Amino acid sequence: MEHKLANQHTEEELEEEAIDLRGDVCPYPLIMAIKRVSEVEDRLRAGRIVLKFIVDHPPSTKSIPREAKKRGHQTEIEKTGAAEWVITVK
Amino acid sequence: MGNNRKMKMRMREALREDLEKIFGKAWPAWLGGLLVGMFNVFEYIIKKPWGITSATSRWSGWILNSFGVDTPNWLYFQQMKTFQNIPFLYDGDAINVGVVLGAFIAASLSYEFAIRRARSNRVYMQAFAGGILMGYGARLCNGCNLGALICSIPSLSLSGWIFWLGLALGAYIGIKFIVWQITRMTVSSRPMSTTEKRSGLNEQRQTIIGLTGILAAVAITLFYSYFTKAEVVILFLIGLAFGVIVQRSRFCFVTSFKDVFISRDATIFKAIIIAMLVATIGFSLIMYKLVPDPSIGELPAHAKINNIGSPFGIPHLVGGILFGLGMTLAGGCASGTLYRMGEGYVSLWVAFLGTLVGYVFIAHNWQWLYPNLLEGTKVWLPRYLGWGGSVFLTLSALMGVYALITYWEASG
Repeated sequence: MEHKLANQHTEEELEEEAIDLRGDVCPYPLIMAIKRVSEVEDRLRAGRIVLKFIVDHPPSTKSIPREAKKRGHQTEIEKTGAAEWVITVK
Repeated sequence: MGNNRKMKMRMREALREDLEKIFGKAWPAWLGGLLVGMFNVFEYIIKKPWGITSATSRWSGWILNSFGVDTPNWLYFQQMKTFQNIPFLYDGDAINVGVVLGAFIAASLSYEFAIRRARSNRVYMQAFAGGILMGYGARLCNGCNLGALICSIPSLSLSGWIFWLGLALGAYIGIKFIVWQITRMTVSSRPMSTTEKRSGLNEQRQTIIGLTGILAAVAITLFYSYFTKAEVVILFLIGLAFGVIVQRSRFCFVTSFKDVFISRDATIFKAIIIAMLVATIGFSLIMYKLVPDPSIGELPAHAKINNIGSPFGIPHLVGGILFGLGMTLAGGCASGTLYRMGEGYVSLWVAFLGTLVGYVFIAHNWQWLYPNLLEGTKVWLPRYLGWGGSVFLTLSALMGVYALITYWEASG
């Protein structure tokens, strides 16, 4: 319980941002994701923001994490529904 | 009774596990390339190499004709003997229907099917315009990314290489345009809690529509075997296989160039080369059986190869550029468009309509284009280099491109 509280405290400054890329086809999702990652690159590195890309284009589940990793960020993929994934970049 | 039920449960588990192996994860790109190459050879054994646009361009002729336009007297359609056949029952038609349906089945069994509407109407307009460019570009050089490239290079042509160059140029221009477009727009973002969940089909429903797709495939198979030749049935089944393969391995030419130009990643690009390496070996064996002495010059009609063109004219370069630009704007090459139609992308259905309009434009210009631009010396390598030389040259050139792109990838 205590642990959880401590976590909440640090997360106060952590901004979580969702970017909806559903409906977009190659090459849009990747280029749009790169744009947003570049825009908040400093805040990402400082651990002050988490980007969550919502995609429904299967190839994006490979290309976006690959590009984010190349830039030194951590990524996670979660399948959130039928033909829907959330790619977390932090 | 209880035992019986247990058995059923166990069988269902086992079946689900097997399905999971095929549809759980995307297939590696190289496997897709290998399978596309192999099925392309199978298709040539049955009939002719894989193509999409000559069949779909007939569709636009038929559609116009049903509105009273005298397309049977247009030079473009006169040159297509198969135009006189009953619409939609010919070999190429069966393959195209197969690809869309195969991709639909694969997508829904992988829980990846969804009706995907585009962000705005502007996307549909762009897809439509891209489709027109694709349709026009493809017919300018007698084929799309399949006919003019992954079937043309293995047919030991030079024109396929020129088309590939044009395709890369067109895709580069298209991607630059899209990057410019995106730098000018704000990538919309909002707090995670406010994004609505879309009402996609759940996994059980996806399985059900996938199985319905399989039933439809069986019905079409029966329909074709009753009303047409056995050949058409086999081609339909090959089309289904193509649909499953390209959907599972994301075998798409737009993706191949996008990955190379943006991320320096050539995974799919190399898969395309693998498809061509496999097809080169298969095609040359088949052609050798049909034409043992290549010094006769051009391939005779019974070799069923019609995608060897004049590499020195404008058509293949310009056609490649138009097609490359068009596919990037539309979000899918000829095969990519078909498989994404099966995955439920509304914008690719719009792009497909665009290609039909593009065919009408070029068919209309054919009277002038054909005698003035398109009739040139066709270069078929075995005529000049013999069988051994041309197969060796084609294989080593493909492997050379493979090595170059790998080097470029690593130097990033």
